Amino acid sequence: MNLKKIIFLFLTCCFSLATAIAQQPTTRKVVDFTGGARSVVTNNSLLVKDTVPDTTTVGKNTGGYALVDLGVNIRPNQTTELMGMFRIRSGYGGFWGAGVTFDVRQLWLKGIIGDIVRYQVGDLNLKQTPFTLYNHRADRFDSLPDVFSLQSDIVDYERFYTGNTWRQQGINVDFGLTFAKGIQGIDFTGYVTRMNATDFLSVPDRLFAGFSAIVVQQEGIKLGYNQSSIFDVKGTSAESPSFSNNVQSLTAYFHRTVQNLDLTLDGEAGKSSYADSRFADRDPLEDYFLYGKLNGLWKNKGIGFNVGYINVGPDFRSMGAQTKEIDYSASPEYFNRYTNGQILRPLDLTDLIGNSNLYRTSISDKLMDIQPAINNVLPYGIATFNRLGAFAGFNYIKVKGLRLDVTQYQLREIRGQGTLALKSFSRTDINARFQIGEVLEWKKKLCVHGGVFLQSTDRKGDLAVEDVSLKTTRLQGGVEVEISKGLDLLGGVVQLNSSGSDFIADRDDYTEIDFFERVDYDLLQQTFAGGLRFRFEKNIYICALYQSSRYNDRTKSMPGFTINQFALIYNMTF
Amino acid sequence: MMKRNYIVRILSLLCLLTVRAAVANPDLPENDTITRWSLGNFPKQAQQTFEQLSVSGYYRFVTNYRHFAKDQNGNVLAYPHLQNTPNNIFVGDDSQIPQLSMNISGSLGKRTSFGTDLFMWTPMTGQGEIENVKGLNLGISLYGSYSSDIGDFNVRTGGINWYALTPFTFQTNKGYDRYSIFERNPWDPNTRFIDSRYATFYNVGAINQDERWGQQAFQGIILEGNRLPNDFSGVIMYGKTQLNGGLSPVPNTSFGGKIKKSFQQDYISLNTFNNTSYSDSTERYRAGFNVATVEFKTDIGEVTLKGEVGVGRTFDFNRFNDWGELVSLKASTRIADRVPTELHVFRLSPDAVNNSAAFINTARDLTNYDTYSPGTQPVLPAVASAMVSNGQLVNNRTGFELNTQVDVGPFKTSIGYHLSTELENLSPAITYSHPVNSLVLAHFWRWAFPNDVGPYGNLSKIYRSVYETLNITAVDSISRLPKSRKSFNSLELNMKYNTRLLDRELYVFYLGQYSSSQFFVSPFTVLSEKALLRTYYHQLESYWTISKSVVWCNYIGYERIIANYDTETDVVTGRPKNQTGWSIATGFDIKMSRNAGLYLRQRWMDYKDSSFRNDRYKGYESTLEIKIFF
Repeated sequence: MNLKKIIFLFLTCCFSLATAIAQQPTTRKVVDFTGGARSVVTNNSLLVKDTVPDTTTVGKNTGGYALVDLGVNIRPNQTTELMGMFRIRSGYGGFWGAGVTFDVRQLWLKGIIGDIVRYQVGDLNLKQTPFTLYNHRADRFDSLPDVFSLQSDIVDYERFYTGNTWRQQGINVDFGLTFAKGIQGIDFTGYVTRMNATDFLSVPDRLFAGFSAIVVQQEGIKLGYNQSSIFDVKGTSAESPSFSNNVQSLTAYFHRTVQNLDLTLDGEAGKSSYADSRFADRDPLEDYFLYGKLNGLWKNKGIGFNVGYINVGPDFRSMGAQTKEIDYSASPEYFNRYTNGQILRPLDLTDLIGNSNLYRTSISDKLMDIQPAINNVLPYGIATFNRLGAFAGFNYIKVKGLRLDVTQYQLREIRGQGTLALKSFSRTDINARFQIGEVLEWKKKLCVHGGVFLQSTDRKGDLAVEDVSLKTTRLQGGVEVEISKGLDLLGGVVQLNSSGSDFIADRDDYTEIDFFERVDYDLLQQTFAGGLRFRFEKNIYICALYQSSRYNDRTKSMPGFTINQFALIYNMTF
Repeated sequence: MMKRNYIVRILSLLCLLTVRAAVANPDLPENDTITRWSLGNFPKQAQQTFEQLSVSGYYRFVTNYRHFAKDQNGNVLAYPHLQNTPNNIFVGDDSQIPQLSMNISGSLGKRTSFGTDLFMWTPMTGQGEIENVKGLNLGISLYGSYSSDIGDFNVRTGGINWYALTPFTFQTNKGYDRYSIFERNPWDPNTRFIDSRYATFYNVGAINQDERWGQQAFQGIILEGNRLPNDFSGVIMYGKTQLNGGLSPVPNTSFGGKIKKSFQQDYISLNTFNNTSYSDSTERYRAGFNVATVEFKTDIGEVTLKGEVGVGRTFDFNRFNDWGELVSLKASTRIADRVPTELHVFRLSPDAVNNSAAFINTARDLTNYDTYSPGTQPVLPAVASAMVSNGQLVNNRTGFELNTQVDVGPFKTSIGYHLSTELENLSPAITYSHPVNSLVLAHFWRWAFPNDVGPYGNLSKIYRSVYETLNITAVDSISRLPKSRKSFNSLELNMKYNTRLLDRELYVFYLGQYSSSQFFVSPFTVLSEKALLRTYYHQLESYWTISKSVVWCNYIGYERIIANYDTETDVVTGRPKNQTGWSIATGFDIKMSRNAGLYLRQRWMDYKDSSFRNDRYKGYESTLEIKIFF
């Protein structure tokens, strides 16, 4: 960020402050300040388990930073709001201004035109439907115990993951129509964002646009039409490659209560096309998808269920919904290389949980790499292509303080990959959270958490080489004990065990398969964490955290290692 | 075609709206919730805002113009590296103090807050925006507090946080308030009355200092516990200091703390400060130091006893060196007494090293693999035996000081006596300063803090000052160490006088320091050639309040520094150091408006070493400073 912008932002801040003071007699504040601050100090050590002792890698390091996000929220009038937020970050150990960076974290304008149209220009956090624009958080371990969520919450904040949104830059428009009779109303939302700017030579401007129209028939019935498109703007570069990825879908939502049973039917169906003029010899990839889910909940019993159907064609492409949040080609934050040969260190659970550098904010126009050892069943969420099958779930929230969620997926491929034989997929998610303190009516918090997540991929072919079998088991448990008012003792463990083999598809820029690479796994990863947290306010806490993460590749293709980390985190973010 | 259809549909719907649409939600943003929108832009709710945000700070414009005179032959009377630039204009302050400094603090709750500072600086070189500088000076700090039945707890993280434990663990020297105040420090405030700075120095003995006085910079986490059961309190700190830190990921960590038990006005505390780093690139071998002390204060009758006793050691390549003692005991009569007096006895072993403490390390080098990482200052080697002001402790030294103040009528006289001797014969050099022209001399090297510069490579710049190293030649031919341990004597006299001249306040201050270092113990400063080095400093200054808004400031300084033939001699003259420095200065403090001051200074300087021909400068420096607080 150049100095002029910083000065402008600050002058705006100061001027607005003065304006705010000058206008105190009015009832509405003209300027508000928002943002947060965080301080992190880490001490890390690496122990390498190799056949030859590692005498080359530097086995210890420290890191950390302190940052302030300072947002100026300006309301020049009742229907306009402007937000400029800059980030000041200071690296741990930098004295007298060393290691300081300034960035604009977000900048947007929003308001209402003529009491009708709500708009926002600039930075946007967008979500549409699960098959058009959606951050599925497919490889995020969202249900981890609290001791791990201290770190993953920071990743969410850093990457603007507000639920299932993607951070985009452009314009968004919302408006609604209401009707006196017939239908209750129609809600519209539309957006145009820029995926990349032209280089005036071979890269044209690329935009991402979409809209949804939701017809609200009556309370409990909604029908919608959704469209999203990624396309190049012709004439914005000397060469004129043309890329497009269009998705159209219809959504339906029905809700009805029968006696004590709440029933909800939710579904989406549509089609996609994917074309790139650089691959003129290829036909456009076109396919369809169908997804439906029935939810039921007996409110008086606290028992719920869901059943669903997934059918996503092998050539279904929706980059807005199939972009993965994690980039497995990114580097770890520390100890990037290890062993005497200084090979690249594979990502382990510590990286995946707490390293925000691995996570992306923008939509990718290519299919991103998957990591079968983490997620091989639905690596792109329910928008994963080439999947057919059903799922069913069960929820129990009857007892005060207890929540149990069980979901089972049974899926298979629609089109064989390199063979006519099809892979079958099975996934079981069991997650339980028990607020013992509430059950026993203790004044203090006592919560235990446990989860089992099983995945399997199998393929039996006529030839032995076609056979595939990969199993991944994730076990996790945690405890949170409030030992004094606001002071919590946290502990948790996550174990990920992947064994078997599969073929990873090597795809070209047209998202089609070039080659298959067989990968064998016998990988055990374990992370233990414990810490103390003091909660000053909601979302404001300080904690001391110790974490030990082991990576043991029993195939010996990668030497094993253990990373121990001690972290002090003071977080003040909304 | 697809895109065109899409745009047409959007436009059609927008057209429809103008005639048919209903209000979406006019009350933005206080009621920014659209419950039925499950898609689109998020979040739907307005963001939480700070409870409070404040901006304060100051603007300080300072510029110098320096000119060196010429001798009869037309030679510029300046150090060799300045010969070709006898005139110099400098805008700004290279001692890390910017022009505009804004302190920004905010709170997100009643018990938590954060603070940061942003500086901007324009060197006015004519290059405009490309040369402008912005950044943080102190960084970003986060604060929190919590009160409970068992005590009050405060936490500070990030940094730089200014903090102090005890003199032997984590603190800087506070001294005895004997210094010249003619030159303004960057952190000096504007006062309500233009002459308050001088009146305060006359009445109290110290000018207004900012919060950093006596404190050290620390980055990391500091946890304080106060009002603990049984009158206990405590501190834990973990992080980096400016000399043991840097941005490098190589672990270079300092940690310390204090447990204090109070007995009404008296107390006793256990204190420690430690540093651990590595002495090799693969981090197999640890290096650092440990210090542990007991500090106490008690009143016995009319006498207050205060002291700190402890031990310290260094370690390197995993080898732990011997522990060394640290002793500082002070017995003082009450400050309200007619002649308040303090006796200070000290003994600091050469084995005790802590470069975050109030004492200077003159004994042991601290090796550190990561010394030269960005953001840290590579000043870990031990300095030579130092001739320092009263109150400034150095290790490898034992002795005592006697400080007193005698008030007679309008005269207030502060007297300091110092006698010390080295515990081990470790250094073949002595360092000393040039206080009469110290700030001007520091301006000879802008921005950097070089060592071993100057015409004879024996000057080193430190913060807003320069010290010189004198090598001893009477050394053992094998060990290259002096034939004996060195002793140090010093007598300091700070006289203050206040009267009214033409019905206006007049303050006159005299500061004299007479010091010597020699191979034998002497009860008083040695005034003969038996001393290896003699330094005599005289500084006389006056401040006359000629109106409510103007103070006229004047200054005369004179220094004589004489070494004997047991020290290095010039190859041409064959004589040892024989230095004479003069400085005459005048200036005005002008109150421009509330919180805004204009400060003018004009200093003529003339310095010469009659033995070392190139050690010579003569000229003047003009300074203009505008300072505005907001």
